This record gives sequence, structure tokens and C-alpha cells, in this order.
Amino acid sequence: MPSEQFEAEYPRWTSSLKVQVSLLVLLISLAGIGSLYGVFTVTERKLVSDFENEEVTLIENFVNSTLTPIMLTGQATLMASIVESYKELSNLEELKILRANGEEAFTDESTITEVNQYLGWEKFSREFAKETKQIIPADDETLRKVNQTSEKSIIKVKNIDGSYNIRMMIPIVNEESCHICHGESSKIRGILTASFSLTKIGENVNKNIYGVTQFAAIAILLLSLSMFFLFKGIVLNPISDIVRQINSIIKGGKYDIRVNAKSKNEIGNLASVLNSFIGAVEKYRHEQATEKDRLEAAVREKTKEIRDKNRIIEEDLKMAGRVQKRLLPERLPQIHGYKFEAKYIPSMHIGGDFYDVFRLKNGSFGIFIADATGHGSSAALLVTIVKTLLVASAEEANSPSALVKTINKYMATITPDDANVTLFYGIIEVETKKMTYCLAGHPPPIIFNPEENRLIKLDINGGLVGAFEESLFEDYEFELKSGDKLFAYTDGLVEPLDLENRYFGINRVISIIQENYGASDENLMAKMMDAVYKYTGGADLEDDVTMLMVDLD
Amino acid sequence: MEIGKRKNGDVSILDLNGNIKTAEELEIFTTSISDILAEGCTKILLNFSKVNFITSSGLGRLVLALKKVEEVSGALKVTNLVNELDELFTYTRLKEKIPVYKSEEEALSKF
Repeated sequence: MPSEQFEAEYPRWTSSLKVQVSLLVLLISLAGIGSLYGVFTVTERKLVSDFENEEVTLIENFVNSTLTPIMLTGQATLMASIVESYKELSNLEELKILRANGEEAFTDESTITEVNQYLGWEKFSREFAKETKQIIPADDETLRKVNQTSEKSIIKVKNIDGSYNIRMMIPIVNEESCHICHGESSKIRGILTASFSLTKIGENVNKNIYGVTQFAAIAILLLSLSMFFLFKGIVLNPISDIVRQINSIIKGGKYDIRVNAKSKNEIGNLASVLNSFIGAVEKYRHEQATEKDRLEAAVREKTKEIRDKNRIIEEDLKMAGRVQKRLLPERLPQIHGYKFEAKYIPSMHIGGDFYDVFRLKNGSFGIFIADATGHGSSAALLVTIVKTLLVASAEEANSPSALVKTINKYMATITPDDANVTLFYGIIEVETKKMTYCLAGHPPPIIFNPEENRLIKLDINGGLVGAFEESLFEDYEFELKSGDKLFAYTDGLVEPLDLENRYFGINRVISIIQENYGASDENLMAKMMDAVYKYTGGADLEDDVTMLMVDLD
Repeated sequence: MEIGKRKNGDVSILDLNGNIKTAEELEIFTTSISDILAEGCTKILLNFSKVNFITSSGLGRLVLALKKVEEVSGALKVTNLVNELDELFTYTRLKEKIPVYKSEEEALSKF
């Protein structure tokens, strides 16, 4: 089975599912990671602010629930060390009690002396006093505000290194219970200043959050990649496989291949259905091939049959042709004072034209040219009849018309109604050059004299021979002269058509004769045939062509 | 070749559309004549306006057609011959047996 070589014409789209899905997966991943990051950042902020609030609340509580009761006990030393301890415990950067004027409490001699006096012993170490320094720079405005408003101040401060601190100033209100030691004059006894770093907690949270975010990002990427590969494996690859397999079927022309239909999903369905389709195509192609083989065999057989029959017919025709050729003169007679030239071109193996030149007893000779209806073997049969009648009757016939009448009578009775011949029969007296002729249904012979530039057509004096029993035929006479030439021919010479269905025609024949007055008979006839072939554009001739020429010295 | 059949009164007109050359064409022609005669019509006019070419066999079939028409004492006429065919009809003297007219009207008037 021959394979059909053609390219599958599926369009190769530049934006493929692969690209589209990859982009989608990438987008989703980025969106996922982005939102995750967003969530975590918000969470971070919340955590930090929660922490901030917590610390603030803790410190406030420390003041209210720890410092104040201790101060009520008058144990200032205890308070100082508790503040110190709390600072350590809570990881604060700064925790100090200031006096209302901004000086650090419990660091001056007079306070220490006063407190020790109150306590009754040297509880406050003077070493303590010397070592502590004022770390918090004096923030006059905030201090003043706290003093005035008795409201706490919480400020976020940016340090030089970019980190953030929360600086708190909580007023320690001079309540009634404190009046005993501190008097009534001031509204606040002191200010607790605290400072803690946000950055540190921020950094911690960050570290944790980024850790989680990185983990989540990787997880999302891995998920996306696996989704993508899953898609590729379940959808894209099977589809590509199917495309590739079908392409190879088309290219290779082998339809016994099937595509992979193992996927247990819609793609598997598509593949199965495609396989059914391919199977159907295979079956069809097989049927077609079988049918084709069958037809080819039948044609071969028939052709052989016809060829054999034709060969028989051809052989038959060839044989008939050989027979018919014998009817035509092998040689034209030698008659003193006259030259004869003939050219015969049958349209098939066997023709319907006939000609002869023969001596007659009374010092004359006859020239005879005939054209039977049709061509091929049917025409040849008629020619045989004509020749037979001619041979049998030429001597007895007094004149050309007498002979023609004989031929006509016999042919009209013994041949079919549509069979007839046209002919020219001229009897020429050798000495006198007088010609008597009968021209029946035949294109007129041309008599011309190159030297005297004379040319005429002979006249018709009879119709189709063998058509009607009652037909009349006459004799005309013509005086030939020295130097005259007679050009007789059959219809096949004037019949040929050009591409526009126009006849070659008698006038064209005459023109060619006139153009070639100097030529020999042979040359003239050759030129005539050349002209015919050129005129028809090389097409085969439909009818036999015969040309017969007589030259008078 | 296609042959168109028309009637004008009791005259059947055959329009010959093509050449009379091949065996097929010869048969079509002969059959058309037979058919018309079989119908009982004895007057036939042949319109050669579309005929370029007729072989000797074609002429033979014309002779046959004429004989058939004469058998039933009918009339066969021809019209609209092109020049070359007119010449052919002249030197075969068929014109003496089958009248040729220049136009259909003229031919019809002579039936």
C-alpha cells in the first residue's frame, strides 16, 4: 500500500497550554507568597504593638501594684533595688525613678540622709548613690508635660542605628497616703521612666516570621511545581504524545498504529475515540486498496482482451493493405512525349483512393483517379470494385463517360446506398494531345502552363458515381498543348481544416501551383504536402491524399 | 453532433449542430432521418448553418437519406450552407438531387 506523504496541517500555536499554565501557576505562587508575606508582616506589626502594650501595661502595673505599696512602707531602699531587679528581669534598657524635677531619685546625699534617718539606719548605701548615674538625657518638654498633665507619656524614639525604643514616663501620683512623707505640695511625687527596645523584640519576631515565611514560600513553590508537573504529566504530555503519534501515522502512511489510550480520563477517551477513527480509516484504506487492486486487475484483463482483438484487426488490415497496394500501379507507363508522377498518402493502413495510368489500344492512354466514400477497408472494397470494372471495361468503352456509366450502373445496384465514388477519367490521344474526359463529383483537375502563365480548372460533367442508377455523365474535350501540366488530386488535399475550421481549399492549391511554376512535379507535390501539414498545425489527415501529374513535353 | 428538431407546418427542420464526420455522428444523422420518416412526416429541411465539415461518408448518408425520402415520395431540402460546402454540393452535383437554398424562409416556401 503506498504511503501518502503529506504534512499534517495542524497549526503550531505560539502560546501553548504549557506556557499559559506555567504563567498561571507562577502568578498563583507569587500571589500566595505575597499574601503570606503580607499576613506575616501584619502579624509582626500586631505582635510588636501587642508587646509594646503589654510592656507598658506591665510597667504601669509595676508602678501601681509594686512600687506604690513598697513606697508606702517607706522602704525606699527596697524600692531602689526592686526597680533595679525589675529592670534586669524585664530586660528593659532603662528603668529609673526620677524626681519631679527630672533628677534621678535616691542618688543625692540629702535624700539618702533623709531616708536613712526615717528608717533609723544606714540602709541606703552611699556607694549605690555614687555608682548610679543619670542615663536618661533630660527631656525637658516631655517632663514638663507629664508634670503638668499628670498623664503618662509614651514615645517611640528612633535611635542613631536605626532601631526603635519606647520611652515611657509614668507619673507617680502623690496620693493621700503618700502625703505623710512627701507632703501635699506637689501633685506627683516622681516619674518612672522606662525605655525598652522594640527592635529587639521586632528582630526576634522577624526572625521567626521570616523563617516561617521562607518555609511557606518554599512549600508554595514546591506545591506549584508539583501542580505544574502533575498537569504536564496528566494533560500536556498525553496530548503531545497523541499529536506526535498521529503525525507519525500520517507521515508514515501506516494506519495499523494506535495512539496511547492508557490515561483514565477525558484524554484517554479522546485517545480511544481517535483509535476507533484510525481503525475506521485503516479499514477504509484497505477496502480502497483492495478495490483498486481488483479494478486494476479487471482493467489489465480488459486491456489485454482489447489489445488482442486489436492485434487481430490490425493484422487483418495490414493484410488488406498489402492486397490493396497491389491494386495501385507499381510503375507508371513510359509514353513518349509525356511524363507521369504520382504521390499517394493513405490516411490509414488502407485507403479509399485509387489512380492509374494505362495504355489504350488506339494510340491513346487513360488517366484515372478515384475517391471512394469513407476510408479504410470499406473504401478499399469499393476501390476494388472500381478497379475491376475499369480493367474489364476500359478497352470496350468508347468514351470516358461510357465507362463511368458502366461503373455507375454496377455500383448503384451492388453497393449500399451510401457508398459511392468520385472520379476523373481522361483519355488522351498521344499524337494530337486531345483529351476527352469525364469529371464526376470530383474536385476539378488543374491544367497549367508555367511558361505561358496559364492556369484553368476543368469543368464538372457528372455527379457522384454509384449513388443513383439514373445519373447522367458527359464527355468534355480539352486541347492540351506542349508544356502543359495536368494536376489531378483527390478531395483529401482540399479538405484539411485549420484551427478555426477553415478548409485548405482549391484556391490555396492553385496559389501554391502558381508560386512554384519552376518546380519539378515531385517538388511541387512535396511543397503541397508541406503546406497542408503546416496549415493543419501538424494534425493527422482525415482522408487519403492522392496527387497525379502529367507533363507534356 | 447534436441535432435539433423543429416543425414548421408539415415540414420537419433538422438543425445540425456540428460536423458530420465520425461513425457516431453519421449514425445520429441517419437515425434522425429515419425517426422523422417513421413519424409519418415526409418533408424534411436540413439546416447546415452550424456545419463546418462533412466527409464523403457524410455525403453518402445524405444520398441514403434522399433515397429513403423518395421511397415515401417526400422531399428533402438543404439550407444555410457555408461557401466551401456549397462548392462541395456543386461539384458533386448533389445540388441537382437535393435542392439548396440560401435561407430557411426560401426553402420552406418551396415545399
